Amino acid sequence: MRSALRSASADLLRYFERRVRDLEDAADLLAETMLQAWRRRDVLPAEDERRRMWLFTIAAHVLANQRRAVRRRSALAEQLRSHLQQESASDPAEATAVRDAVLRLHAAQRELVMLIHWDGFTIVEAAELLGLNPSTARSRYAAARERLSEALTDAAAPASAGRT
Amino acid sequence: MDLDELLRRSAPPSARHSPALDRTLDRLVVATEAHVRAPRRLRRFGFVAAATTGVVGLGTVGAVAAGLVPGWVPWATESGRSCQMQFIAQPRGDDGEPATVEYPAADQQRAADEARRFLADFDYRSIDTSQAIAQWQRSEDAAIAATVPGEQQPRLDGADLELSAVGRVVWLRLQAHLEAEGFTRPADAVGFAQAWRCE
Repeated sequence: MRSALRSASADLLRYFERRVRDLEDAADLLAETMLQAWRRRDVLPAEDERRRMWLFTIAAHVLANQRRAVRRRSALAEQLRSHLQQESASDPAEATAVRDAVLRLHAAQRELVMLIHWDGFTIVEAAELLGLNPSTARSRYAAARERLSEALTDAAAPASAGRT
Repeated sequence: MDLDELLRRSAPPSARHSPALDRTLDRLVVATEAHVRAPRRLRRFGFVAAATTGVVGLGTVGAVAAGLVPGWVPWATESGRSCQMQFIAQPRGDDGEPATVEYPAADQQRAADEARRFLADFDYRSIDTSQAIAQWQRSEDAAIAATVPGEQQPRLDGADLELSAVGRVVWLRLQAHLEAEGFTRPADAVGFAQAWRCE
């Protein structure tokens, strides 16, 4: 379990950082994910890749629960929280337009795109995390890409027109 | 730039990857392990005294924890091993224990805050190690004597013994302090755990 958590912890942290408004919340969510993983260690999958998926499934549940309830600060996350206060990377301005387009997608498409492009999962893995069958995920993903292409083209058009 | 690359670059910023972040994450892994394993070990030992004191030894797995008290307490054992200890005090409710009439969540929090202040200022050099070990072993003997044959845990030895014994003293003094501050039956308000690592 330790090695599984250690190898996934940075990715889990990023997963939460990308889905919370307050970066420090990511520390508490990661701590809660680790606690739940330790509590369920008896059912930790044997294969490395299944372990990673298992941890992200727990993380998704923790995130969903956090959105439904007021979260308590975890004492265990204190050190990580202060770390995040100091260590947040700068946000490239060029990314914001694309991110805004992603965030304007329908929720079902948005999470799929985030899992694939921000967290590095394959479509099949993202489908598993979202409880979708792969074919549904593929069609949903294709629709999301089409929507994003349109949105980014629309966003670029007025700027181009303004320069001529 | 194609859509895939645009999307990849659009990920919100996150903490910069660094050795310091890795260390913090490693500590969190072990701290959460310590947090979860602590009650189980407590039950396994079946120490009546430990159950009431809440002192938890995690040394057999070489636990490292990141908790509320900033930093670790360096500790050289009688046998010359270089160790570090950390103590974690938090509201019992954070352990999943329901709030009681006597200790609603706000009072648990006040007690835990006071416990952390106490631990942050505690003079660990004031502990008489030999005496602490003798006290621990008496509790251990009593617990083993009260346990069904075949379910008895082995006695602690070496650094595990010494650090467990020291942790027990810390908890006893913490309880006395909290009682003096007006928190009756502090074990009902504050969850206490100890973790350590040795070179």
